[in-house]
Amino acid sequence: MLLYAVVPPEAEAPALDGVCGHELETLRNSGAALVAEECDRQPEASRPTALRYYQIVDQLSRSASALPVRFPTVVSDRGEAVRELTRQAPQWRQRLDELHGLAEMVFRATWPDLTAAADAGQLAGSAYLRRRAAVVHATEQTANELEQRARRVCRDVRRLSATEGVRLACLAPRTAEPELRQVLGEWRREAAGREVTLAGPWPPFSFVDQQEAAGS
Amino acid sequence: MAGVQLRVDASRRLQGGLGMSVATTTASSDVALVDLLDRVIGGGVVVSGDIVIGIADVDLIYLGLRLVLAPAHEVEESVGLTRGRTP
Repeated sequence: MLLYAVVPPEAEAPALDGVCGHELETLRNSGAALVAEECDRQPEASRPTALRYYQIVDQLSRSASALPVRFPTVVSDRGEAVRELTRQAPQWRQRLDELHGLAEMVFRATWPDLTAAADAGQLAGSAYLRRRAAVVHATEQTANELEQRARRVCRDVRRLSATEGVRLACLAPRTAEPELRQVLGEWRREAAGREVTLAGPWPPFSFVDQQEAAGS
Repeated sequence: MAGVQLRVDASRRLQGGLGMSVATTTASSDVALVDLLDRVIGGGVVVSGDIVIGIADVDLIYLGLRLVLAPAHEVEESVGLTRGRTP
């Protein structure tokens, strides 16, 4: 069975076919429910399939609190899914309550110093190391600053890995998007060459776990 | 949005149906799409137990361990790989 999301026990799976072409079903216990789909074959881990999975989870999250399950997670059979549900229902239920009404938005920020960092590859030895250290320091400072600013709007902020610049995930009500956009816009306008990309809102993929930072 | 010149939200476009708008996205919304896919496969609840993982056409992998799937760039970072920036 392909697992989609954890939802409250009273929630209903939408009347949709899943990525394997079968109707979605809801496995319940008293604390939580798992939305899943019987799959005769292994679901293809392609971009269209991942986007279809996302759309289903997004639709679920608009009608009820939902914890998306990492894609593609397939358990061997219904019994395995029910055992997992039984084992994790208490903590899932708690997190569902905590995330009620909240969504995730992700933003990336870059600035001119980062462009200069690309030239560091032309440097040698200690000059290269000093340049890299300066970039790392500036990135850390910018991440801290943006995190602080984002917290004016976001209930929680988690750092995500980025190959360039800073990438942060914001947990906030969907309706807070204009406020976050404004906060990021202010940061962007304070210096030439700054860029920010905002994506979302979508289900809280990076916040399903209370303890574990998703930044990973 | 134009006032602050932030970039486009790809996920919102996608809600219309099956990512059909992907083909018409700009470079900036491609970034947002990449972020979305990164979260789909890199975030979310991690289920432990016996799990079958499907990656493209690779045969099933059957695990009895805690499963952690991660996007490639995260794996690169975790093993200390960098992208072409050497002294």
